[in-house]
Amino acid sequence: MPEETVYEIRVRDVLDEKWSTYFAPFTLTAADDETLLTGVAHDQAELFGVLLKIRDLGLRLVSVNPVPRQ
Amino acid sequence: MQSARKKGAAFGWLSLDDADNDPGRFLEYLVGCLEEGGTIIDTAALPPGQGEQLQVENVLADFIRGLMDLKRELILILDDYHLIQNQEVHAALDYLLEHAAPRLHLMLLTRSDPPLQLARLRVRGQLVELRMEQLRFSAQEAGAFLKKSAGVLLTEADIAALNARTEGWIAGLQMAAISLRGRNDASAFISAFAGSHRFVFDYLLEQVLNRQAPEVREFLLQTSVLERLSAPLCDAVAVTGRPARGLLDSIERANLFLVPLDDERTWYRYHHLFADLLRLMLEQSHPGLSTELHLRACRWYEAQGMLPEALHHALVAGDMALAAHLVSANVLALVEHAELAPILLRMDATPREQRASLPWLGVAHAWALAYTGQMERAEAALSLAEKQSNKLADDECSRLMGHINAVRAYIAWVHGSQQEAVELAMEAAPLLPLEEYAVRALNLTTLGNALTQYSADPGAVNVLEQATALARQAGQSHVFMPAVTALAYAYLMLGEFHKAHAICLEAIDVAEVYQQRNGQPLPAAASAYAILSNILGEWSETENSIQVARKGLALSELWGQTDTTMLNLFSLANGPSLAHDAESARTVLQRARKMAQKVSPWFVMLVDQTELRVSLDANDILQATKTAQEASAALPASLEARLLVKKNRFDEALALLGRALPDALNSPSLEAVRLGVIQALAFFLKRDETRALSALRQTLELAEPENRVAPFVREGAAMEKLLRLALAKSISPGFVRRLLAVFEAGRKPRTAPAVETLIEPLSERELEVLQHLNGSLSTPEIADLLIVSANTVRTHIKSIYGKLDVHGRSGAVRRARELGLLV
Repeated sequence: MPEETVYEIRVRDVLDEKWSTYFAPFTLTAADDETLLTGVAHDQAELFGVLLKIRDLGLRLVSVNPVPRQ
Repeated sequence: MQSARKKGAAFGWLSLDDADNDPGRFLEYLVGCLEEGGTIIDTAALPPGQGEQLQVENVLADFIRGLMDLKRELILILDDYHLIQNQEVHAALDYLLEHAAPRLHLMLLTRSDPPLQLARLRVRGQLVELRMEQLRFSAQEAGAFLKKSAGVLLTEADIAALNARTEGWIAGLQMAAISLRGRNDASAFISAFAGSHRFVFDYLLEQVLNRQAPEVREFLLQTSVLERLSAPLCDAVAVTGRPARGLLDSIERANLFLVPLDDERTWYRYHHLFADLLRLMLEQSHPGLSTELHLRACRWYEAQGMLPEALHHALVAGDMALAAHLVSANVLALVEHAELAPILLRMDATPREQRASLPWLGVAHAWALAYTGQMERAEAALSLAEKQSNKLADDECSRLMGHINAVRAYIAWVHGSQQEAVELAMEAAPLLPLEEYAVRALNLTTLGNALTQYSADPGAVNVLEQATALARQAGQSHVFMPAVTALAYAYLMLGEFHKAHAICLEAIDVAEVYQQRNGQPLPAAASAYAILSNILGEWSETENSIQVARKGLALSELWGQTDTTMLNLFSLANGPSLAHDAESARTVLQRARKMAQKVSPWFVMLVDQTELRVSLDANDILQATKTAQEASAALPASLEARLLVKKNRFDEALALLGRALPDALNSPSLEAVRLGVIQALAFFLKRDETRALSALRQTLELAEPENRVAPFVREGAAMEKLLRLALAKSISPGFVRRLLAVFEAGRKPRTAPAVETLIEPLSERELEVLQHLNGSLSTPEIADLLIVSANTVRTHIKSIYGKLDVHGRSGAVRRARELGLLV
């Protein structure tokens, strides 16, 4: 995988402002019934770190996608 | 569990945490928790010997053999298995599942499917899975639960809505129930809740918290930083105006996710998700306060002597220097409680941002590695820390270099590089801040030890008196003991046996007080025993000397510190040697040599010298010559001269002695008396009575004040004759009579070997079984060999363990070797 890939992770729960420090450096964008976590993962370990946080909170993971380079 | 008990199954429950990602620790806890349930797994592979690598396959083989011996099923429950990421641990479990079925039933509680061979087990019908579907509440179950806990009447539709929104999640329903209590708008609440897409837990928790009294809310937020809660700890951390005890009781009664950890309600913890969310809310309402709260917790734990917990809070607070201080000031205590491994794991797990302060972590790591004999790794950690020291401010950097030099000094000392050790310790001293009493004491102890490493040095006494004073100020037994025993050793090297003796007794007193107060022994006292044993040996109190050395060895094994263990092994070899039991001495030295080879050339040199002394005491000239030739370093003049005399090369011996004596007489030390004795003997064997008596007179005068009996008694019959001559000439009559009495006592017939001190000796049958314990046969196999029932063998084994005061095969074998019971 190329270095510094930007990922979009979707969860089917709405997370409010206070969760941004918890998931930093991923940023949160809340929509109606889901939240988009966007951020750079330098490697797989970092990506899995975020996914494990999602698992441990009991959030419902929907998808994980790399953002295509513009 | 109850039905398991009814069926007579054995079981063990292991609650895993991050630190169990170490295969050695994981396996130890596995064996340990089975033992608690009454299932003893006998394995000589755990714990691995000092400096040895853990052989996982061996432990597993022993484990499986132990399970096969079991006549019942074993249910093993591993809680929070998702925390395990270590491949070796997964592989070990796969192996067990493959080979230990059908006796073994493994139950894993986990948040993620474990990376084990699940597919294979599924196909074979050996896997039962309880997944989310089975675990969540059904609408019916939810209904029953809510009716009981909400205290509010709910419609079927309400219950269905709640269950749907929480997806049958029990904790969620619990929070909903708490939020509903005393509400008269239940339906409105529920439809608002059902209609919201907010993270369930978030939403409900806010509801719950808003209904609490302000002090309770404050308390919950502030104590969320703690992994575990107790009333005194909470009082130290959370300032709410109300005492913690009352608050904890109310919170528990309100069902607010506070879980008691013991029956006395001393310790609690929060539901993990609850605590996570509270921490976030704490950050929102009081940004930055958490750092201060962690530091308060750290200070409380440090005051209680609970160092791993203190360290945890220091690391989370991001105060790396504090973390390193905690480790370095308490490194010996941590080694004693075998608490270093989990601490090191925790340090490795600190987040990237905090690793910018890596130098201090490296230093803390180095202290731990050095004191457990892992010198190469310690130096590697130090080099790395040194490279990163320029990141720190000037005075911080000095302090770091102080620590680095102190650890390097210790490494150099253990290695035998005296000059280097002295230089490094002296460089370290001014760099360490005044308040770091413990580390300064450790450093000066190293300096004192180094000064007196190869020869007596009065300067060492001054240094070590300072070290002892600093250690008293630090108020830590684990720092005080090494300092005070080093002082005893320095006096010993100077030949001041009485002073050394008094200090050892004082140290042992301190250790006993510690033991009474804390309910466990102070392993640091092991050095005091080693030195005391040496002194008693010198005074020819052989039986006592051996007992004391044994006690010291047991303690030092508890502690796992290499230099103390080696000292005790030497003392233990010395005793039997004086009692004419060369074989026991040599057995002990075999073990010492293996250890020494892994640690340092200085220890190897000491083993050589001790082995040579044993051979000389036993008049084994062949072996003595061999040892002398193969010795790794130059031998002290007294040993060389003794060997020459044994070979009847008197003139050569006298020439050597003539060169060595003047120096030895000029400065206080152990050698002068030894050299003098050999000189007198050499003259006597040359039939030069006049010179013999003259040399003897001088030596007796030197030896008498400190009661140096052993050097004379070692030389046997010839020396005895010479002493009788001296008595006839009234040379030092009092002392000479005492020496002759020791010779006399040595001739009394012994009914048992000198070293046998078992209160209840083993029977012949037990001795037979004991020999087999030193092999790889299982109990049934031994029974076959001896043509008795397995039960008979088991009875013998139990009796053997009892008489030897051990708990397993490896202990029995070790003890048997020490007692010379193994063929």
